[in-house]
Amino acid sequence: MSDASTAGREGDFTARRSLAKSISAIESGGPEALAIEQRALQKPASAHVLGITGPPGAGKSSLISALLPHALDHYGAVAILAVDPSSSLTGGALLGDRVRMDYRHFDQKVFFRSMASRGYQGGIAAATRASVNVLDAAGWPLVIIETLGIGQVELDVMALADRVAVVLNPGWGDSFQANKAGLTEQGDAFVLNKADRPGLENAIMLLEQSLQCLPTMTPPAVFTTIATDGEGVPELWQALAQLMQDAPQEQQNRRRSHAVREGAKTQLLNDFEAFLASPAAASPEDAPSDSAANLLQRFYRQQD
Amino acid sequence: MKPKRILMAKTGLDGHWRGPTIVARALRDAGFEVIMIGMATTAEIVAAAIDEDVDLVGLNIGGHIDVALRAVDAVQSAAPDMPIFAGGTIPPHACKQLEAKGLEVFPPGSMLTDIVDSANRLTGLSPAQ
Repeated sequence: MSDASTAGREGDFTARRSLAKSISAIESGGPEALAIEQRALQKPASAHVLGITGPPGAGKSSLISALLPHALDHYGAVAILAVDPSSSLTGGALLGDRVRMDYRHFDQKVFFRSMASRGYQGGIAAATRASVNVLDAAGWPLVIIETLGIGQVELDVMALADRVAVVLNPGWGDSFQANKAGLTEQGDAFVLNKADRPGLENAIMLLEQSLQCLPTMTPPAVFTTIATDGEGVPELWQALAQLMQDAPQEQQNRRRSHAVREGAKTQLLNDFEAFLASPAAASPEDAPSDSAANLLQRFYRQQD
Repeated sequence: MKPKRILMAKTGLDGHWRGPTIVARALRDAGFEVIMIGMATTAEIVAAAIDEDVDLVGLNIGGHIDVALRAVDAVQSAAPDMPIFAGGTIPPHACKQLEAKGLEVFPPGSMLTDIVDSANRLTGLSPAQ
């Protein structure tokens, strides 16, 4: 990585390519990925991170496209990490989030990276966290994470984002869906997109009732939008910008310490796997009495 | 093994999606990560290829060959090491122009298996011919 702090913002392809290549290196995993992220963490966190999540087809990409001009006005430059699922059969993926983007707003001030989940289960990719930190260190003031289409519990984005918007549609579910654990407990703002579809009033009522039961002083607001023609989008952006303005610095510190801990965890796992592949991991003569505790003891003794 | 990444873009204003969609699906099923960009200008194709750090660019060419040739030049100048292949309703004289720039070209009648083989070769997953 050439100095990431100057990379990617100036329109020079060399710098831009090196930023893109560090994200590829992170996706490949291993010691280099760890080193890149830990290097990025040397700089204090300053980027705002906005998560956009919701079920497949809710309109997350279209909404990001509609929000982008507002975000550019406000932040000057925006990086987007858009996650889509990998096939569990072939490992391949169709990454289609760019198809929804209105490229009129794209120039050197927008960095857009499509990311396949590569088997990671949390609604993002294993590489998303480190990529956010690298983009932050490279000076991107706003990073938007678009999760893949989630069900009810794939909420890893919450640990990375300062604020999260949950995108749903009219007809999304009944009162039981609205009161189930997971999705409706976590968002900072809720968006009923495709608001021109039937069932909007009912969806607003169910969602608001559920959100009022949350143990917060003020329940998250519900917005209605039609992303494809821009209706309700300025109001939504205004609210999101305010939410991010008000996000406690503590959240950014949490993202960093989360990254440090996860990095250490990965390192430990790598070391342990290397140990398992080494002769030192082999059971002693009395193999049947070997145990996980004994194995770990041999591992820690070797690490000393 | 890290999956290889392919950008699929349409040059010009031709709105036929079926070809690139079927090719993208075949490449996906062959284990590639396929980034769909859709109709795009030359500058948009280059920016996407760079940001996405792809191993291969696929151009679906409909309409004027000059537009496609400009896109090829722009990608090759921004990222000289990034291979490109092309498909679509491309007349024979235009195929020759593209091949002269080092592209593998798949005009109408091409087999999906040949396109996948080409992607494997161009991304280094299988040896070059």
